Amino acid sequence: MRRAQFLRAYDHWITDEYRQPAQGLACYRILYVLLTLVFKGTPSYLWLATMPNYLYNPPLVSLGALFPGFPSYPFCFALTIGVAILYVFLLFGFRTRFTGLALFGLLLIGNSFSYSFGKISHDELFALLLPLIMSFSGWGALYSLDATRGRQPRTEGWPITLLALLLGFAMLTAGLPKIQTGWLDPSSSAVHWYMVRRYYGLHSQDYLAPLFAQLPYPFFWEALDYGAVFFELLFLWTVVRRRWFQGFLVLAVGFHFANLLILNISFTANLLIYLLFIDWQPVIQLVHKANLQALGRIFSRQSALFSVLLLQIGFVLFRAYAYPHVTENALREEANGRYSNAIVSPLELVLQALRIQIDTNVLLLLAAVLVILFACWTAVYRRYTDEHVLPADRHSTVGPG
Amino acid sequence: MREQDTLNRSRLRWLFAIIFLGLVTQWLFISVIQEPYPAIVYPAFTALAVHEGHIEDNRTEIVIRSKTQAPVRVDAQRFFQSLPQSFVKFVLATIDQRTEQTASKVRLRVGPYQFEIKKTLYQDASMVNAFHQWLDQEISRTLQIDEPTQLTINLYQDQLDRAGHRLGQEKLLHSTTIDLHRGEKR
Repeated sequence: MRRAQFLRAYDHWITDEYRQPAQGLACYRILYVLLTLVFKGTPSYLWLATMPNYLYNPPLVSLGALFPGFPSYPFCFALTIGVAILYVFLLFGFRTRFTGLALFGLLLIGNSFSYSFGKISHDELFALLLPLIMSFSGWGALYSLDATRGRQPRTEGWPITLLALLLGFAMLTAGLPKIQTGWLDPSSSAVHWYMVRRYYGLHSQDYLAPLFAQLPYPFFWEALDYGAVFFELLFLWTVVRRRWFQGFLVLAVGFHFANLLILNISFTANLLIYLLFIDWQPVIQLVHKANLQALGRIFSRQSALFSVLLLQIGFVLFRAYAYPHVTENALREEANGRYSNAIVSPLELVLQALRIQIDTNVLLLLAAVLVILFACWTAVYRRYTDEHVLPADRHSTVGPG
Repeated sequence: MREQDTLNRSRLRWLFAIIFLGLVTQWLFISVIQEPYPAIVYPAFTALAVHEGHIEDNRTEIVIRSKTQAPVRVDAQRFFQSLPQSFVKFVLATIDQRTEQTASKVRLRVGPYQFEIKKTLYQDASMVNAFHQWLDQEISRTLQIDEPTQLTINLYQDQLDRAGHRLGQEKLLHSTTIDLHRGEKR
């Protein structure tokens, strides 16, 4: 009996706990790809072809370990253009499942070579996994070219649960080693020492760093140590309940915000993943049905796909011509005012044309915070205006628009 | 269109159980051997060594000698502009490993037993020449120095107290010199 109860709860958690309505999944797909295209820019791998094989040192277990050195320029060019095209296909939901899987494949190849210098960057981990896992969610079922062609896959809840589990586990791997290395030792103040090293040693002195560098309150710094450790350890535990997980995601946004402003550590790529877990049902109910139908019309037109594709390819070619030897990450650091005003995303192109100097990481953070606040507001608004609490439209039939 | 799970519940149960076991296994692999790519892991920020009220802070300096002008000293982060800045420390380690011809070691301990995997980086003359040509280009592009003859990588260590004050003189920990176009190390 207990086993049956456990299995029922386990099944519910896997398939229903994180389920989103089809409209919500489609809105998320469009928002995710738009923010990636406009704010972050698609990755460029052209710089890898200019690197000498003397620096090639991939991890023992990786795709890069199968190759003797960095790929050729035509290969890197094809990879860069391929990724850019697949992101546009994903935006318009064109053969969405295949596109997602192909995008994962190309990102994996490109990142494997990018991380063959002995260093693995973790901030893009979920940008790599999302297209793979969400390919099985049916996020191309609405507002897409697939929908207009009658290719409407069933929507699934388990891919979102899986992403929540992976996110919680990743946080755990950051938290547990901290305990072993003295973060909970009252005499150490790990965050304060990081602050000292980053501020004085690495000269990371942007935003609020000057205010905090000389802050003389040991209790404050110790509280940050404890807060960071418990926050990362409890993340996996909250995956069990969607409401708990959402609460921790709000904390996570504050956590990343504080890291950016105080320690100047940018981890903003995760924000786009967090948006998947907001309650999309109240948001789509608040947005007028006519607006959703208009959205559906835009993203189900082949002419719109070709227009965006041309713009995107044009931008990637411009970037390759204007900054042929500079890495995507180096470009990002340069764009933050270190060495020059190189451009990685269309937004930076516009900002530079308007002579506005602002870090796009901060803009991305603000955009994500606005969406999350909007989602929170709509959830509260619906709860007060509607007598019926709105469960996720779990078993209803959903048509395009 | 009905929203249904295409995989049946039993297969999903097994899928999640296997993935969870896989997560634990990859984490054990990372703990005792090395991080693979990709891996579900986030940085723990544990590498900061605190010693009796101070921390150690490393700085790497590149010194370029040329036929045409006096030696030029530049910070490694400034010199390797064409790389992501977080990569520089690791790239310097790779250069050191190749020029010193040393093997990196990965140690695996299981109870009283200890295994060691040695990883020696393969290189040949053409690879070394290509690296020197690349260094030439970087020196010319970032520092506008023609005809460079030597590049020296100096690793210094400093100590910082809580208020960010530097304690004493910084000391030279390690130095590697590359004779450009010869493939030799001094």
